[in-house]
Amino acid sequence: MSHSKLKIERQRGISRRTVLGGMVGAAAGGLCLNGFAPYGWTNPVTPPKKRLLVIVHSGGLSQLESWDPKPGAATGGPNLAISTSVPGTQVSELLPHTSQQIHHLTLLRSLDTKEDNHGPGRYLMLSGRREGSGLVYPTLPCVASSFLTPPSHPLPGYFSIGGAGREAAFLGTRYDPVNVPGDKPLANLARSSKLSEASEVRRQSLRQKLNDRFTANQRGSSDTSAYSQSFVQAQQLMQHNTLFDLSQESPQDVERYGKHRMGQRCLLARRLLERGVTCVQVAHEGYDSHAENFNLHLDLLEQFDRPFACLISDLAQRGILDNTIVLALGEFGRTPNINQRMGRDHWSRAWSIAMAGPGIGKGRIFGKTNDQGTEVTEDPVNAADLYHTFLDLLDIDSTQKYTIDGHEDIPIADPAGKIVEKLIV
Amino acid sequence: MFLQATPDAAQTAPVAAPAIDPTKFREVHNVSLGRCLLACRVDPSGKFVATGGMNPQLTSVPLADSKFGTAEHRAVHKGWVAALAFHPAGGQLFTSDYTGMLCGWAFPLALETPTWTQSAAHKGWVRTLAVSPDGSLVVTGGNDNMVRCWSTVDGKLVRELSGHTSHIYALAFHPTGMHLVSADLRGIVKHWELPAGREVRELDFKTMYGEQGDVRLSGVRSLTFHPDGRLLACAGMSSFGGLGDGIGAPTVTLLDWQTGQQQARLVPKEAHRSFVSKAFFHPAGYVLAATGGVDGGAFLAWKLGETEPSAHIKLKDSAWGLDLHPNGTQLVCAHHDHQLRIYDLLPPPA
Repeated sequence: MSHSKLKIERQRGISRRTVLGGMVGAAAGGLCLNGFAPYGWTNPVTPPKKRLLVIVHSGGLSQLESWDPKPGAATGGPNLAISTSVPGTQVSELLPHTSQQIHHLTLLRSLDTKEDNHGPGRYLMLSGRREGSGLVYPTLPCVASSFLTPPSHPLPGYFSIGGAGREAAFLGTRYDPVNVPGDKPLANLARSSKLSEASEVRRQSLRQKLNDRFTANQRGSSDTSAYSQSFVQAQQLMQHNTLFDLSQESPQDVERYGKHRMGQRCLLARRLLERGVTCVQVAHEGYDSHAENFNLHLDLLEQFDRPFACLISDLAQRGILDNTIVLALGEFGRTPNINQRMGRDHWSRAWSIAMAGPGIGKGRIFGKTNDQGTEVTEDPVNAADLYHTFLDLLDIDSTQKYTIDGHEDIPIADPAGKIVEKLIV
Repeated sequence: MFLQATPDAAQTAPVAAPAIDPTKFREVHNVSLGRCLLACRVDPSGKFVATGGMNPQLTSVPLADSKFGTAEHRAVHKGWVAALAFHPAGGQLFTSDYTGMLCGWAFPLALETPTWTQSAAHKGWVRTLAVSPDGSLVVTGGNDNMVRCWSTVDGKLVRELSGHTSHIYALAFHPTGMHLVSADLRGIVKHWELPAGREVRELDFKTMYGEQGDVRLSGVRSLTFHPDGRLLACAGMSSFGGLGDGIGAPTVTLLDWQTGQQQARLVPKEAHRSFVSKAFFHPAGYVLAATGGVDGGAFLAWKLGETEPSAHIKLKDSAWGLDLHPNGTQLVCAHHDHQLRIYDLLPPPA
């Protein structure tokens, strides 16, 4: 477990008050800052060698149609439960492929997060905090990337596949995700044919020289630093321009994962992790099933099931799961009650996520809900505690603090939370 | 060129053509059956209603003098009961469920168990059933994208029709019995020639299919022929907003069976965000439909030849099943709020 203390140093000309004001403004507008962090940033001295893969079920996956089925209950829906690779454990029949990988997973069935709105729910699950504190916090992959990616690492620390947006907040643009579509190649990765390699080297050298002079004259700001960082990131990507090229994967794997969008996204996630990327997030959208919940989950989980199962299986087989924390989560679950649109609404009082990786039990069920799935009856877990646990699993000390301006401490996780020790093996 | 309905085939229409007034649509009786109801059918004698829904029970309710009697239940299915259909001559009921099971029952329900059972008629849900006009075949559509024809006598598989690439949502026999149509999630309606099972053509109802990002929803929810066989009605939802929110317009599209050309697109005059769950032709010259969804249930009626509805009446809750009583003047409806309701299409007695 790392106990390194992070230092966020104030840049010239920007006061802490200005910074916090900016953060509040950004929060009010529903955005994380304006893309350019006002702070410099130093990594821990010895970064732990852990990585992170997050699959986000955007909109809120129904726990009853996935990890915590209640067949036969009035709330249970039309789907049956099926046996899995772990005797005695069942999941929804909508997950036939994943059911054979349950021996790698912990199914956490006792989340009670008390947040039923999309934006705040997502923020809560990915930052461990509730919206509205006046400060916008970075999401887990940004935090993990900042701790775990060595400064000399040749690739950006965090790729978000199918997602879009800035999540690094005060960590700065350097830790924002590189957003990639996943189902089509990233554009403009190749050097322009009109530009020779020598010319390109000269251009970058000149740019760097000017940047260095600008900074040395102490006229640089976080904005110019972030701007400069974006060039570094672009160069990194251009030097690894086959990183996103799924045509280099075997046709068998492309077939196995599926040629649909989620299949390609999961295959790309594997490719990125194999090539040393620290944090990957994959978005699967559309789970907000206020209407037609059963038809919708039937289709979406068919898209999710096989590629996710392939991904877990491949990561395990290739040893990547030995140092990668995998989380499959949404912003909340869905109501046990079936509404008049044949839908399920938002439900954060008793829902589930799946987890895998080092420190996480294999083939384990954690927590329990009642027969109708309306309440947690064993081992309730809240989002703040879960976030501490995520950090701990990543070997990041969840009690440490960001130091802003040399004198202000911001806990990296909600101080009211604590690690769920029982969840860690 | 496709076969027209013969006079004999026209006689397979369940009712004569009594004068009705859809604007007088009103509830006359109801019974609560303890779970959301997804389907209902009135038996050809008009003496029973069979229904099922969000549990494995098949329920038969006697019907006399516009009132329901005491319900009888059978618990043979393994999951929610999805669809029901009667033999046109009566005496047999066919039921399917969300586990892939198909059952043939002697009706009225004298026995606890079906006459025959196909426990794995399909892999996955069997949302739809249709019985041939001559009563020899019961046809099922499954989530395995297959259409299968079974003998009504013993439940033996007679024929498989493959070609759909998504879940089958609706089926209908042409009144001649020589043609079958099947509709899927993606709004594809296939025309099959029977008994050979040859695919004749594909009709495009993609306006009833919605795709937004990773979400694919809607589909043709109901297919039905006019008793004279000249028109096919395809019903569901179109003009989508947010798919996950169920935003869209309940829609019935009328198609000239011979040419495949669209004749009319029927939608409510006033917005009512819902799906048409069931639509059919009334022999008095109407298209009648029930809906369920965001704005709850609605009863809709259009006079043939007109696109503005004659009636648009809000129901107490979403309606997932609808059938016409053989007397032609009453409807039976399966509702989300557990109620089976009888509605009259005639003015109340003075």
